[in-house]
Amino acid sequence: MLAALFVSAAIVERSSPPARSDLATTAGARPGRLVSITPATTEILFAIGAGDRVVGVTRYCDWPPEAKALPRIGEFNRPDVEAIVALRPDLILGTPSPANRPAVEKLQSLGLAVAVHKASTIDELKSAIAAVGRATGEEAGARRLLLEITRSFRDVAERAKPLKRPKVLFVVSHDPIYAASPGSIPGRLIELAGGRNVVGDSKTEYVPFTIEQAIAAAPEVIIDATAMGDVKANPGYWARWRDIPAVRDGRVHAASGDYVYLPGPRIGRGLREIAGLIHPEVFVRGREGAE
Amino acid sequence: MKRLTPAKWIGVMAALAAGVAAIALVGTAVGSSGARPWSALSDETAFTIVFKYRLLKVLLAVAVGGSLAVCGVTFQALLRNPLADPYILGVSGGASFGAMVAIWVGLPAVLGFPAVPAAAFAGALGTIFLVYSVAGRGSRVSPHTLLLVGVIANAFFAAGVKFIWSRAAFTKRDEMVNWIMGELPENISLTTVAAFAAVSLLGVLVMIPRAKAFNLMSLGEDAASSLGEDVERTKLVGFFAASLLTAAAVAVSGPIGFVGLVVPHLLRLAFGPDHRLLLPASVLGGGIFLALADAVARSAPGGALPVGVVTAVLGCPFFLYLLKRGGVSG
Repeated sequence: MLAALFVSAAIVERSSPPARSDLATTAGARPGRLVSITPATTEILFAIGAGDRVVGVTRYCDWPPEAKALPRIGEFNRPDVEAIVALRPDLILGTPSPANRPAVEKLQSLGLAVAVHKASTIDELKSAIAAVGRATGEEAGARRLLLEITRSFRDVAERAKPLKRPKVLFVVSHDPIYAASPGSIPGRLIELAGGRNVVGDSKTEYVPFTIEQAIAAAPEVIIDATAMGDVKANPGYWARWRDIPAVRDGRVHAASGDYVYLPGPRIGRGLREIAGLIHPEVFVRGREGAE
Repeated sequence: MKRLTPAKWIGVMAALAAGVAAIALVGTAVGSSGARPWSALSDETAFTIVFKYRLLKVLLAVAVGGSLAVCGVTFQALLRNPLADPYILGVSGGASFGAMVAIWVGLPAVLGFPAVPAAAFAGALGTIFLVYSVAGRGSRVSPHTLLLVGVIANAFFAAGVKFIWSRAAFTKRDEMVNWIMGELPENISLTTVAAFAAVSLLGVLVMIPRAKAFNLMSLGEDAASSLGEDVERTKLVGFFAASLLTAAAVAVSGPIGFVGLVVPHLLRLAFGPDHRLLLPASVLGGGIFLALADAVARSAPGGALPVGVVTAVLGCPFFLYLLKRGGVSG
């Protein structure tokens, strides 16, 4: 019985997969059914005008609000192969991760077109936006988005240049604390916004950090992204540590959304928000409805 | 000991084989999408889901589950300990440690062989070697010493896993947790299934012919040797076959718990302690249990679960129920 099943599986595996793999590379093609396996990619698809062709997103895709109504295909690090195949996608888009690689390989071996683009640095994000634009036939939308990002980056960087550079700590997790290193996206944004990251250079994007290190490093601003959007909940974690200048001066701030550290199309807005937290005297805060 | 007749043997094995067939049908019929096998012939997407995705998962689940259960029977027999399972001598700990190292330093694939299972297998082999060389006295090995060394090895590697986890990059932690949870791999090829099934068959063919010796061992080692059994040889062959097969199973699917503990007890309770039936029955019974858990995991509302979570959730209450009824014994 098992042998019969096994033989049937062997026969099936030998049958040739449908030839769809070429779609991913054909510039100017307009694949009709798109599935995103990364929240940031979902945001890019909507931002460049391909949102109406997206038929599946991850459980964590909550932006733009329209994405929340779409069928779910698991999580970024646990994509559900079966749910994706069932949506009959013409193209699956996302960013690569070691944890989602087995699923991506399975999808490819089933003959589905998968296009993953690295986007963990700002440069990679820009090429990912361009690549997603090409793969979906939305080159114009991608160009518009890139221009917008470049403009807000230039604007913030120019205005921040002459200002003094306060010490900044950017935290993405408590217990254990993980802080953004200079090479991470928040790290780059801090620098562009005229801040000085208290975390030293590191090979990894987020490094383990302790309260003791925070006291020793004496950041003047703490940006806490652990309870995204929940401005009141966050500073409580730090309240006991009045030795830290940021705590003493009431400059512990909650990042108002994950766009601040996700490599997505709202990165320009993230930069403006960080700049507003580091230099409130110069930058108008870009936090909608948070305070 | 209930008497084992050929009729009973054939009856039980036929019933379990039917169970495997049934769970294979159920396993290919359910999943996280609404695809149904009866539309597979008319619908290309359903065909892909049913035959190229679900079927391979079911086949691997049967092979891994069967392997873990038969190894569980062997360890329980040779250690004469009802709490023994395939992981008790440190194999899962060493494999987990190896896998964590591979993820941590980002080892590349070697000769097309993915790094994480390769490192897990290497970790398991290293542990087997370590545990037996520490516990062995010449050509003799005492089950109690083995158990102690195994427990210590597991504790040490658990600490090692926690150390690596706390040192690892934030972005690698998800992959580590996914692995530790115990999960049938997402990207299963027929080659994976075939290779594992071959290893599994080899292990089973070493263990099953030793059923009579295992029966004698349950009377105690002294009694067994006075009845003319080469006790040391039986232990050595049994331990190594079961350890190596466990190592292969953990390399493929991570440390999936409870299959190797609960299924042997369940079958012993249902069909008696005679290893001539228990060993082959556990191959099929373990396959049914893990394929069932996998079917539940893949079709869980709210998205697929790691199968290791389901085996524990299904296995624990059932085990406690058996214990309460007084039905569990070594």
